[in-house]
Amino acid sequence: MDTESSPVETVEARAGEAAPERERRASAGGTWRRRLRMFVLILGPGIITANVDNDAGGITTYSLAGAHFGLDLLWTMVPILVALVVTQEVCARMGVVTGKGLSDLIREEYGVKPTFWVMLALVLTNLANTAAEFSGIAAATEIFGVSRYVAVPLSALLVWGLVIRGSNQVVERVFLVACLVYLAYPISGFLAGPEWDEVGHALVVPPARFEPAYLTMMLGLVGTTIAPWMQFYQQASVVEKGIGPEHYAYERWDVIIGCVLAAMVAFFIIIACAATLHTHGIRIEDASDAARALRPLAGPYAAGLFAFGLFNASLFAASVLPLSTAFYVCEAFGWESGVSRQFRAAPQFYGLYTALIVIGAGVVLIPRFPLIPVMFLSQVANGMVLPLVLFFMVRLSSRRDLMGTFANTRAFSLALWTTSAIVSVMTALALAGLLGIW
Amino acid sequence: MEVRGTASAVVSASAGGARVAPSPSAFVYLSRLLDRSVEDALGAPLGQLDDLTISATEAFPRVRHFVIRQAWPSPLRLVGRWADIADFRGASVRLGVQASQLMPALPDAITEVHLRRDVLDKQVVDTSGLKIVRVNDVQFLTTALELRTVHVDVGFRGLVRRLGIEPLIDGLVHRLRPQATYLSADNLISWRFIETLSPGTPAHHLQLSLSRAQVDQVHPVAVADLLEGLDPIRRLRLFRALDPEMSVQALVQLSLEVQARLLETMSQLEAVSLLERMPPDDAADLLAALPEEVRQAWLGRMTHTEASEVAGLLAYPPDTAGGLMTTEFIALPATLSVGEVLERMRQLAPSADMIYYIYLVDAAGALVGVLSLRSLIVESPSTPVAEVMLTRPVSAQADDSLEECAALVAKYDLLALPVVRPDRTLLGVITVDDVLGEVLEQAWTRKLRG
Repeated sequence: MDTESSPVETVEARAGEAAPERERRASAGGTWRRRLRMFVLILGPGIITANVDNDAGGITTYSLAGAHFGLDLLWTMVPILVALVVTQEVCARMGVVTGKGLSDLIREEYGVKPTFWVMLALVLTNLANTAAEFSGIAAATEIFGVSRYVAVPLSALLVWGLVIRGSNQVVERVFLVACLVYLAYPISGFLAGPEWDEVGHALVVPPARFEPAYLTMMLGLVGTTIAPWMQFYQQASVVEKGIGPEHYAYERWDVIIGCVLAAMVAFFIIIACAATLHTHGIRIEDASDAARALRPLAGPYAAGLFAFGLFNASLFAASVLPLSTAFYVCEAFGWESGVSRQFRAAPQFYGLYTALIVIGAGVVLIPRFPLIPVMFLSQVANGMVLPLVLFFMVRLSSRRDLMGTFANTRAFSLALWTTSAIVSVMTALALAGLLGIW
Repeated sequence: MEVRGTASAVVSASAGGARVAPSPSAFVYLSRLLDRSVEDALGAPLGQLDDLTISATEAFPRVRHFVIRQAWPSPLRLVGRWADIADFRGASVRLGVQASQLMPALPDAITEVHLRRDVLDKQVVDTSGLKIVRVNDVQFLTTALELRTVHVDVGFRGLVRRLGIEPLIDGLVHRLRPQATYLSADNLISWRFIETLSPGTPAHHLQLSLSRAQVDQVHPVAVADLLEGLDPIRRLRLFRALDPEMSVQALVQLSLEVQARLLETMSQLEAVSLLERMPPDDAADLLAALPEEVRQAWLGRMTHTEASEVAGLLAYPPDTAGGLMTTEFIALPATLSVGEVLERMRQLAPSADMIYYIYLVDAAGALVGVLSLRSLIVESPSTPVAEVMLTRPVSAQADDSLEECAALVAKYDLLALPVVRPDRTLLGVITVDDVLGEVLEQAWTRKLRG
């Protein structure tokens, strides 16, 4: 070899000779396997969002629906699932195409005033939801005989500390695995031995019931399943993950699978509660009543199992809600946000985050605070804010200048408007119902 | 056009970016103008003021055109020149011309920068503080004939103003704490330092000042921080506006995940040319983080020498000497004299990262010695390098672990560590910063986990 001419070149060329064979080997795999791998990579935002959805408020509302109304509300799960898939899909699509969060988009396209009102509504309902999560923690730990005056402040501190720790991906995964405890409901539902033809009938034929309590419960079901924070959270996590339009097909499946899982859990909680509580005329006054729904599976351990599930769900959601709320608000108003910043650099972010946790946990410590009603009513509040959020979502996702070829088709827009209209009518009915109760 | 007294008084005071406010009436906010009703010279209502357009090339751009939104359901906008406006300080905006002199246009037919569509409520880059801010309002300086864009408002007061409750809040604060900073300190940024990132604006606009004037003087790490904070679309936009040198330096400072995402949003051509300009070891790291089919496609399109270098590096596991090393180094025949080496260095140095050590190889390419830049300068040019070089230099094997390399670098106080085959053929060089970066990263990961 002629080292005189250009040593650098030759040395470099030699490094190149070692070119690996694995490059060529890798591409030989079948396309379906590649697709599957792609899907697993993308998987996440939809499924995580849907699982956070089954939080303290969710479990409580589904339990109440089954215990107090038997199978009479089961039919709502079908339209609710459809609406859930449709709304979550829109958010994922907007995130993928625009690369921006929902609050970001609302601010950029509609200005300060609409953003202010949406954010105000979101902060208030999310505060109520946070209070519900801490109520769930209190209810769960009291089953284990731990006082809420110990458990709630400790949990609040733990959740608040998460922000200091930075990345909570590990925590997220632990919670997600613990979500397997929800499998207890389908098993318990089967073991309780409901009349399956009755279940089938109840799923398809809505009973003609219009009393206020029934309508309010219905709105609670909508509000807990299609909670407004979910749309913001879903879109933000899609953006965060950096999923591009070319991978959108996978993300859509992620969303659909997540929504179906969430609805399945809800479905079986209602069935289990209807079969074990409603048939015996037991009303849920506190969490230990709701735990009876797991007796067919766990017998004497039902209370413990339920408490574990409720505690996990509550803590999971409590660690997600205040943090994400603070993010959306700061994003919308252009304030510094992010856990890597110093407190001084992001006062609004830390202030809001801390306030949500302190107030949310604080109210639960008020003596004789009604845990179950708060968990339920926060979900009704969700239902009331939902039409407002849906309005912006439909408008934004229909715009060609923003979404290009990913804009809603006419048929899809129509489906979305119908969803919004139905939820709005239910909100009006439930409001009337609530006013009627008082 | 009617010349207003208050406005003419401040023509001379068009000091531009200065944060001292001359007379308050000289300034007007965009939020005060938008959505006001517009009537023509005869008093006939035309619609609402929808937007203002500016010419992007000026330092403090003049408002060129106004856009009127007609009553629903007309999709057409009416466009006129700013000079056609007779009075904008009354309850409604009055034109000095008749409606027939305005130009009907579709909303996206106007290509100038629109202040509402492209700037207001959007995230922009404040190139003086090098951070991303959201525009709450835009401030103009009024002169006799024109409206000049001078500041963007990114402060809390701008938000309050947009909510329409400024008098209320101002009054409240005045009562409670007259000396509050809220009342005196407006958070305004001079238009000179603003770069819009909205996809609607022409790309050349962004390129103008950002690449040359400001960003060149900042450290790539700062630019990388800025890029990390952006959403994918704006990140790409800002990235494209950087000059080529800076873009590569900033890119390698980004986390691998963000690097991969950024490249995946580019066209293949653009991504490949960027990869070719990156140091081979960084390019290999980045490619390793990409899905296989993308890696294949990109490698296939790179020039042969670049691709083979990078592919060679890809063959080694990332935590080994082979995975850490770069193939850009200086290796010269051991038969040269000091003067000849210096001469070669002048030709080669610009492309190599590590010029403090010159590696000397025999005819077969095996490493026989190393020469520091110091001895190169100190020794007389006629001395053969073989006499002054350090023989049997410390080296690593391609499959040595990161820890072993780090230990060698630390023990011998090296700036770079050569990597050789068992037959001592020189493969590449690990620079101290690469080792340090990896070690720190692993230490942090351990710390965070544990």
